[in-house]
Amino acid sequence: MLTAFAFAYLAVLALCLAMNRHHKALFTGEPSPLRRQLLRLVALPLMALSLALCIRDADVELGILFWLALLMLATLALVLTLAWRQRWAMPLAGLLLVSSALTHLG
Amino acid sequence: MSQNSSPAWGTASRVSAAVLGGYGLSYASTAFLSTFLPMARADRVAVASLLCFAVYTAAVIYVFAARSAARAWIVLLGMGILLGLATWLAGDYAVRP
Amino acid sequence: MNLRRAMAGLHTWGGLLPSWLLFVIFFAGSLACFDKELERWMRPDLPVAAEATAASSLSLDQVRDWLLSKAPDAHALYIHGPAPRQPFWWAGYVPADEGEFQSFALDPVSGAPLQETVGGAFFFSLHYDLNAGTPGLYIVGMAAMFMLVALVSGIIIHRRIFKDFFTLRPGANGQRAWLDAHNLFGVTGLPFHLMIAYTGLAIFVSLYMPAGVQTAYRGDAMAFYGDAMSLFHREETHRPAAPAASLDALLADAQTRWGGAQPGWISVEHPADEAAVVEFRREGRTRVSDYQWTLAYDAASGELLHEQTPYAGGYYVYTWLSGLHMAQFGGHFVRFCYLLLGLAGCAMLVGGLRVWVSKREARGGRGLVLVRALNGAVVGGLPLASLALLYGNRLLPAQLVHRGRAETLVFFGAWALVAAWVVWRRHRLGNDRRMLALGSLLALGLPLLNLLLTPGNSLLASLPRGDWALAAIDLALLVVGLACGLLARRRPAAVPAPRRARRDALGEGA
Repeated sequence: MLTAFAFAYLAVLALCLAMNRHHKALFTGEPSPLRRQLLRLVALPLMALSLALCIRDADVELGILFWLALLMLATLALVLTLAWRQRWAMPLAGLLLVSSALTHLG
Repeated sequence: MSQNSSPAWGTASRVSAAVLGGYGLSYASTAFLSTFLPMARADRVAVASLLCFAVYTAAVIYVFAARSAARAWIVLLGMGILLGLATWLAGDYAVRP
Repeated sequence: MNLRRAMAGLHTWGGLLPSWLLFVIFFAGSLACFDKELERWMRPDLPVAAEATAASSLSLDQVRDWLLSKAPDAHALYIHGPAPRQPFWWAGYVPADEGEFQSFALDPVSGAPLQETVGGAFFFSLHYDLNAGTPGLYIVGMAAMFMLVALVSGIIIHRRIFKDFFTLRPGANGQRAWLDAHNLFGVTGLPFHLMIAYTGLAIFVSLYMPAGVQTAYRGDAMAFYGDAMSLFHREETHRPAAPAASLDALLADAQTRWGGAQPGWISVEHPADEAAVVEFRREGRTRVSDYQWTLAYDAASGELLHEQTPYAGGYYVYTWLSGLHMAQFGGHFVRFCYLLLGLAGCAMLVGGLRVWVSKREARGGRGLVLVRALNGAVVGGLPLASLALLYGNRLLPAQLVHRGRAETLVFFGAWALVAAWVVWRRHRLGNDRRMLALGSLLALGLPLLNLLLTPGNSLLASLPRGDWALAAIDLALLVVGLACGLLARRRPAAVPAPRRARRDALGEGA
């Protein structure tokens, strides 16, 4: 579930970065149109991956529900981070991925 | 009636249309669907009842979006009476298994 | 555009009116996600080793005989054995006159009744009927209808719904920041909010909308339920019952038929009558809608009378929707998600209230004092009263008669005190800071009180034995206490920081 959450977080982060205001805040300058399209395109497989993980762990019925809950919570986590600890938004994604990888190894 | 009466009256009329008229319409729609949906009796009742809150919500939104309170009342009452009448005319068709 | 203006008015006023009620419902509902854990915390007289011994120590027959010794002519008996989240027995009966249900929690080892408490079920009841019975159910239903309308009108008026999707600017001026918060919690949680309002209404649909049964069943609700969920019922004969078969033996038979599943509520209908029926319900917790697979036996001969068929069609949709609301599937993960999303709902409500207030603080408006006082009394008062309830649970004498009622009195008394204090101080500033500080003290004090009065249940005991369900409540109290304390300290710095908007908005504007 942590891995699914990590991918959901990455997906909403990509969608968020595809917007001028947030891209400017986390990087320097506005994103090029190509870059924005790419970010949006990347978000899709990430979401699908997160959904696939949920379904693998909990079957279709519950998997879809889990995934929706994770997406909502990932968005909330991202926005709250952006509001108070903006610089942590990107490292948090890495942290989530690393810790989910660790739980798989352990 | 909305032209020559006060805005407070118009609002009160809309609020009562939303609360009472909206419930009346969703009641009539539930009765109508419980009668005419092409399903078994228990399923008709369950599905029609579960839909009633969507009808109620839509009715309330419509009441406040309508051009005037009078219009909202007419539409709600008209639809309610139509649905109710159809249900009443169906008679024992409603209790078919 | 006219539509948008009309919807804005509807959203403002149709949203404001029920928002304090909705806050109560959301807050209590969020806590009720962990009602069984709270219940366990509130029963410190449960033996510690309960989980290990629970299964073998007490038999169904003993519990039934105990109930019959209290009410030999009961209308119906209900029994629920120990379960992982609830390591004790529930035993109850409906009296012969079909009056109020009498229930007792029984010690799984000794079989003696545990001391009386409202338990975690208090928040559950507060959530769906405000502890006010049927009138409360209707009031909560109306609030949920208002919420549906407010959500839909909110979507219509929110023109920057995608543009501002990820935006929260705590540093902006008051109204802007609160509007951001209201939108953020409203929009990101929207699927959950819509679902929870609609499914909440759906659970009691038979109460709110009787039209279907009145039309297609001519008002015969029992016939409807008989069709929909294949219920079994056998009328009394008013002849005395033959000696009863062993419930434990019948349960063994039921479990074989279920393929080993655990039982939920077990009932004996009119146990003193010749036509007595025993029913076993399966406790399904794996899917959103698990049908109960009820098995009905003749209480004397043990003959299987009826086996419930799986829910189908419309009734399956109904149970699926109510199952989605009640979050009994998916274990602690789902409970925790619902808790967080429910608190996000609280934050949305508080944000909306603060938008209303700050808009009118700037340009004046009627009702400002009233709305602020209500904000303080409800948003501040309810969490404080909930903490007070837990104090009542530990401090009231164990053998007090009507102890549960006394706890309820503590809860509402504390709430009334906070409300009165807020009204008395309505024109002064800093109320929320004081309430945050008080909340912090109360929350931090509870684990300490637990340690002093019931050391076997405290963190020092529960953590070493890995009793996470019990420890989690104390840990959560510590976290809430620290968070409130931090917020109270930061409060004078004037910046409205809705980090934990639920707590932050205790009381009125600083």
